[in-house]
Amino acid sequence: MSEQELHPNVEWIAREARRPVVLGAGARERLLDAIREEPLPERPSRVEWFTGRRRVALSPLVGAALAAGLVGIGVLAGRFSNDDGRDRDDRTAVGQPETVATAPSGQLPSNTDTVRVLKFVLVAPQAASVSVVGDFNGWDAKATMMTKTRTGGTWSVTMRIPAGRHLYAFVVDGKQWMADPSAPLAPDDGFGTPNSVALVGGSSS
Amino acid sequence: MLGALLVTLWAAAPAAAQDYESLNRTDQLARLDPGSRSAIESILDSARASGLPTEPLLSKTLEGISKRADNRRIVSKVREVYVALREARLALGANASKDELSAAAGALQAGVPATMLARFRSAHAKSVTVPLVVLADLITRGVPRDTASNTIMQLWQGGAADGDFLGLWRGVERDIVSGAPPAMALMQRAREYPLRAPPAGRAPGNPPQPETTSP
Repeated sequence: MSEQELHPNVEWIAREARRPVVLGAGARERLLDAIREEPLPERPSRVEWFTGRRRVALSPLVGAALAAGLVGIGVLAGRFSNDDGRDRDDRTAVGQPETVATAPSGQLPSNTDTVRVLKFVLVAPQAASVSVVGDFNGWDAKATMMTKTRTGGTWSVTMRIPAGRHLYAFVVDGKQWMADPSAPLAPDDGFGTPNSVALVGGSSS
Repeated sequence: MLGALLVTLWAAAPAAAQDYESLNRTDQLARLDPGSRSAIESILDSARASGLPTEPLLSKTLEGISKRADNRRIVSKVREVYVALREARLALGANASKDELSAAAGALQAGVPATMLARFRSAHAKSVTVPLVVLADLITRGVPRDTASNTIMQLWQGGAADGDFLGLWRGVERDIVSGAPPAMALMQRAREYPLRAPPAGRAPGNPPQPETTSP
């Protein structure tokens, strides 16, 4: 369609639209002043930057890979968790200081394994070192050092010990002998320091 | 990389677990003076000859050495353990396990009379290890000997299981720590365990035949 065919009214509108706009004096300054008066948008804090909602676009392939990775991590974590749980179950003991040993489960397992896993635990926040000594390590105070948890003052060590009745004690800072507060006491040892009794399940008794 | 680490850890665990087996404990007897070492070896030989377990004797020796006890005291305590083991076997019978003998020896050292041990055995045939460990603990914590012996015996005759005795021990221990008189703590906790019919086994009143051992 050519211009000659346009309706007169349309031509008039087109002419008006093409005509240069002439701004009055000071219009530019007024516009800039108005902009300056507008408050600046607040810059988000770092925390808001991390916690704020945003859209993340993932291709289906990347999404599937991430999901598979998470499942893998879960499986590995489950395996480690089960290993730990097995330790606790196997600890048959009567005996451990706070613990679990606390937790001595109290029940002697019925299976007939001859070596079982036993976890010794002692709460000693002020101690610089703790070891467990007993008939299972020749009463050698340096043979089985316990490790301290990062938080609190809990010391622990896990050992594989033959099933049966065992006498043991803790040595704090290499010199102070003490019985396990969460295990049965053995009768007087004859040497002036108390011992505890661990009953490790699966014995022949 | 992770797999290699896991394999390494997996392989290291059994090796560490066998440490106690590789301990050459008899070498540690060299830390005793010659006379004391000779006396200990003589006691060990006697135990071996009469079929008694030597582990508790060697353990007591090493315990004394580790606690820097006087050599003569170590010999004296090892001899006491030997005598207690012999007495325990007489009370429990020749078929008593090593753990039963050790527990019974501990009970004897705590003051339990040998006749009481024989009653435990005659009540029924299951292992007396746990009730005797608990009994020795209770006496050590201050429960009068007769009160502890009779209470544990009643539960034993009533069919209490190992878990019952350990549960009882935990409760009594907690109560004593909280300030309860030991005898009272035991009597009250014992009431929580209803007596059951004893399991089938050796008939009461039919104690084991005492073995004949050379003095």
